[in-house]
Amino acid sequence: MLGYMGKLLRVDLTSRTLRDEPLDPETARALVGGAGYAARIINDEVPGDADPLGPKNKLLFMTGPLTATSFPTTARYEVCTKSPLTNMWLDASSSGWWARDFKMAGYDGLIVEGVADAPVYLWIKDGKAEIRDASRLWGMDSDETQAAIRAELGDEKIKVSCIGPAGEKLVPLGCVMNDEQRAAGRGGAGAVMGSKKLKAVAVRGTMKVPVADETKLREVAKGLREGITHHPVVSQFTPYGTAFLLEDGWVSGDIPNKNWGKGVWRKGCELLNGRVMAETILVPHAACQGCFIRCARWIKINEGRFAMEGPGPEYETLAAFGTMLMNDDLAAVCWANDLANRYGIDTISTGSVIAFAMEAYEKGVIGREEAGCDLTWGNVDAIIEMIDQIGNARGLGALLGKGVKRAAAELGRGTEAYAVHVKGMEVPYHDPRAYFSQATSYATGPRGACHMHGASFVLEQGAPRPDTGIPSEVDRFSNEGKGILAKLAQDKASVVGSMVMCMIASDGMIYAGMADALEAVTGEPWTSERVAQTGERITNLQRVFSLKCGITGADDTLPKRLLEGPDEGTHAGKIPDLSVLLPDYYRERGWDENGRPTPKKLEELGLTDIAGEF
Amino acid sequence: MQVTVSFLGPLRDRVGEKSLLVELPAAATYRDLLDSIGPTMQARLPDWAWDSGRRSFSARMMVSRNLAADLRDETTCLAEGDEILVVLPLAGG
Repeated sequence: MLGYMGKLLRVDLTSRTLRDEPLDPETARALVGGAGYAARIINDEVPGDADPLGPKNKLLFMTGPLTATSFPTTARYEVCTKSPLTNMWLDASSSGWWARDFKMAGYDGLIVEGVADAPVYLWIKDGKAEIRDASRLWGMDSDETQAAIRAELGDEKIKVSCIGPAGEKLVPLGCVMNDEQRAAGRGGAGAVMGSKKLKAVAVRGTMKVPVADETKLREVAKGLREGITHHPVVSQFTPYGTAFLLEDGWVSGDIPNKNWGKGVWRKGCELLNGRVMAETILVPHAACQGCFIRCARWIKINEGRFAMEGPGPEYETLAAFGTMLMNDDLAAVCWANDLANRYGIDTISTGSVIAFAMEAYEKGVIGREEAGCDLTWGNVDAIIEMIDQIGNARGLGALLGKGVKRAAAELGRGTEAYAVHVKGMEVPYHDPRAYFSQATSYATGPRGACHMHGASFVLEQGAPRPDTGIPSEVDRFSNEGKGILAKLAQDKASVVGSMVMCMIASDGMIYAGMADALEAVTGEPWTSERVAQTGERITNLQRVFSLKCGITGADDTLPKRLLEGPDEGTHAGKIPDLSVLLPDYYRERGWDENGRPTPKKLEELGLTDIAGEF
Repeated sequence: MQVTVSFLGPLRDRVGEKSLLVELPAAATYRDLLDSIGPTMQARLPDWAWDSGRRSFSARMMVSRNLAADLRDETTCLAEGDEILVVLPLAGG
């Protein structure tokens, strides 16, 4: 099948056996690849009641048909599993270079099952794979691990996806890291990897991906490049990175501050934004493989206690370790980012749990002795201390590393009121009180609160979507008509996660462009309608798995803090009304009043075989 | 009276300045401000930011007076020291 290498590598760590199995063409046609294809495997093979950190859970590393082709922004892979943070569906995407080498080593995906009896890593090169001892790597941080494996195997071109100490210690905020601190960040895939005692997957590939129409693929890529170059906002990602958002996002109220308790923090945003970074500490560096946008930051801080050189923070991390914690020290955020990435913990969730702890400290629920530091807002020493504790699962950090939902449940004393999560996933840093469709997207997101699974707020901002019929002007504070925005954003994200391509680049593509790219690479007939339905099919399949895991429509909600009006800003006093938003969304989805896909909807999507499974 | 018009994000690069200090008569309205800065905006901003037909920022722009609710009513009276914030609210990341 063109666009694919045609096989998956299945590794049973319990028996230490490896075997190739063919890619199923029908599944690929229906779900493309990446997190779409993985949703089928996980639905079929992982029981809903499986312990996420037990032997019945599986961990998949998946590429898509565009990976390792000439199409830009597609050097990405999806890590899919049952999440130890949310106990339901999880996919987490990462960029860099690893995915390209993995696919060029001859595989579309990797299925890891069982549990090894001692630390191991996988070494895959041009169609050959082996399990190797990782005892001496255990305890190393993510940067050290990559360097050690390259040295051991004697090849500097080897790419490594791995976990840091947090994943080894089964911290549910643990993520999977690769290359220059790129992260499959959210939901605890690193802890699943650690539970299997799998330290790393090292790859090197030189094989060629078969492409149906290379000329057409390059034409589509050219259109994407031109569209983004002239896009008033996406073009900002090149000079300023995603951090440019901090410069003006506070005006709309998009950026949360002080654990979502403060509507606006102009000073912080003025000191932390991408323009400031570009003017002070940014240095030229390579982008992700094959990317012309080059949003990734590389920074050099020459002096002071946070002097360093390396990957710099992007928007979410600047909000996590900056505005959420009332910390306006850009150098300290860079340091915290580096530390979190080395330990292998999700910066978004980590910032959120520290913000939660700071509020609990302020309210007297947590004391200085318990915290091991003075957890006052903006205290950079405390921020770094807490990252160290979480990354090493020690002290208060051992509790916080379980995520804010469980931390609040264990602490009690009213802390649930400011534990900001959906289904256990800490809310990323776009405020749904500034754009009400985002309330729906968060409440119903396939992996919990997530902007990567539905940034519907951009549709309320007037992002052009000529293929959808969405009007260019939408009242951001209206509760009416937002269900379709959430659905469109989620389904598009599902396709992006199956292709697998960059979410930022996809902002410059409508369904027709995505269809053209898929058709060029696979030779299959693709249309806008097929792309749209594929996205819907994937979203529903992921939802079905989560329903099997025990979530219900009652879990489709927002935390208390986000149902209180912000104190100031253009969104002051605004509160999304879920009693209007959710029924509207369910109607648009063809789901029943409890958020369950109806048999009719599943039949329409060709998913009748799973209709009776939840 | 003096009013500051602040341009953030992509608009700052287009206008070429972080802000403009605009002199207006007492009791001036938002419409008066738009008329005052119109020629400059017309010259510096692209169509997606400035609507030359309406002689106003385009519908895609978010305009706020002193970070209060979105400013749309052109008869709104301005006051000495007001800051008018203008942004293109399109973002992700």
